[in-house]
Amino acid sequence: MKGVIFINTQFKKGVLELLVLVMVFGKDMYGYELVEAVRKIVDVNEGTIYPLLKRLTNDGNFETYLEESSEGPIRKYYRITVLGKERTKVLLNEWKSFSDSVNQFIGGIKL
Amino acid sequence: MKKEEFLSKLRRKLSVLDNNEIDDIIVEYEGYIDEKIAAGKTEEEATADFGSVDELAKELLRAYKINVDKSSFTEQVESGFNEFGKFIDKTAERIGKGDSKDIFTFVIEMFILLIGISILRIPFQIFSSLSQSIFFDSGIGFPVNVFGAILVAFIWIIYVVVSFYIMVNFFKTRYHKYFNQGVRVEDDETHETIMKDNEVRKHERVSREEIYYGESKDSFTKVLIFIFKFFMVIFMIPVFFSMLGLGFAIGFCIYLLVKGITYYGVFLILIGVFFIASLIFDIGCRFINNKKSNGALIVINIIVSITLMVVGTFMTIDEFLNTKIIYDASENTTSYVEKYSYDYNSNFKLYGSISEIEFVIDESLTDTINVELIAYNEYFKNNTKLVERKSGVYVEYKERFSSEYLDIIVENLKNKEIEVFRYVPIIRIISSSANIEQIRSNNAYRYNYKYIEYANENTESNGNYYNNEDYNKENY
Repeated sequence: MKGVIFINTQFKKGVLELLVLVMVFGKDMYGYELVEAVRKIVDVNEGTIYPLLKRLTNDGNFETYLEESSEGPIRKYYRITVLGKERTKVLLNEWKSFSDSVNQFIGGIKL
Repeated sequence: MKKEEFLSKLRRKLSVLDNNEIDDIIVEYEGYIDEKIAAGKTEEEATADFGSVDELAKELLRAYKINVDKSSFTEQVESGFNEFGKFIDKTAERIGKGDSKDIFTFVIEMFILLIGISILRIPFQIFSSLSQSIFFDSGIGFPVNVFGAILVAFIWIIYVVVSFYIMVNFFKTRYHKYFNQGVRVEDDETHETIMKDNEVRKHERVSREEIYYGESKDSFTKVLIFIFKFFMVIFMIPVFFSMLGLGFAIGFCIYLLVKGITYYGVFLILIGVFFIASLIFDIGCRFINNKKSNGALIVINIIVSITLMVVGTFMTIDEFLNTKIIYDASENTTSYVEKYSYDYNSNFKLYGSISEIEFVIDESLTDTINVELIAYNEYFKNNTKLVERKSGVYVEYKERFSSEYLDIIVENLKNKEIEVFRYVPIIRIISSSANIEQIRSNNAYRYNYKYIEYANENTESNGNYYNNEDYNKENY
């Protein structure tokens, strides 16, 4: 897979949460769609994303609703809540300052 | 793996959750699989993408804050000790910071608390002794003393629970007062961020606390839960063995019922008690393993057990009121006699399990002592042996459970009768009057003997005897 980032699992889990939050922040999405979207960016097992969705929902970041699709199966859509938006902002800021300082450090090194 | 297999496996792994939650998850995953099949994958490929079912279930359970990794008991104990260590460290740190006034008040408060708890013991002690003397020492016997024992145990359990509750509350309030405040005030920089974070987390917390089960927050509660679990494990041991015993008792009851004995009440009570014990055991084990109990099942179990026990109690009362108790059974049944003969010896003594000695005077026996062992049924006779010793005879009585005895009991219960046997055999000594006088004085120290002296010259068959009570009194 070209352009896909391979990273350490623990690290991936943290990033994954941010990615999923940001994606659902953008628009309501259903599980499978979300998995496909995430997998375009990070190489990840489906087995890690669905439980993550469950956890984020249980923690009150997402709410869900069902909608019938034109292709057949009923889809469970995830919509972000106020709390979820708040959390996304917090995580995004954390990520930005984290990656900024890492980049700054890496940028200063000449190999 | 086929779709159905995958889903049923997942369902099994999630069994600790609510049925509604499980259904919800299963429907969702079914949807994902269908979606993938619609996109052109086979069932096997679609399920393989999820990785191992174990991992998936573990992750899902984690979403409910159920920690699967630490479910093994040894690991829990380990983490409990770790938490305990942290708690001690924190306390030490606190003491090290030298807020001696706090510590002083804490010690004083602790002292007062302990005094309070020991004073609280007095009314419980009174109730306990009262029920002990009313139900236990009254000598009424079987059903009443069991009730008394249960009552006494119950009173003490209440005392332990009450004191435990007071202790927990005391420590909890003190802990929050001294530790949490102290930590927060210390550094102002992090304090602000903590506060900000808390704003967000507060919302989460409220909803979380409603949804989740078994989430422990600070190390204090963790230590408390650990201690509680430790006691739970100790408590489970006797519960387990009572269950085992009850199981045997129920098995024996079934045997008796099959034999044709019509006492159903005891059987019902035993089953009721067994249900309660298994319920306690189940709840205990679930608590130790951080698993959820099924409320509806508990309620049903309690209702069924109590119904069984109440019905059983009334049936037992009825059945035992209809049972005839025969106290003088031994006098009506055939005697089994075993005869022994010994040379006369002026030191002749009797040892061992003897309840009664009968002396029969036969003047012709100047050099021999005839000893007869009289048992009122074969069971007692088989369990008794006369063993010759240097200066006399030792009566050896060993109670063994034999099928004969069981047969007697079963036969009696079938006829709704309970026979009370004299269970230590009678020893009859036949010799000349001079010899008997000597033997009697040799045995005088055994004041608990009952002497029956036959006044006739020949045999025991003539019932003309007198009770030598005066002689007994002398020896008391």
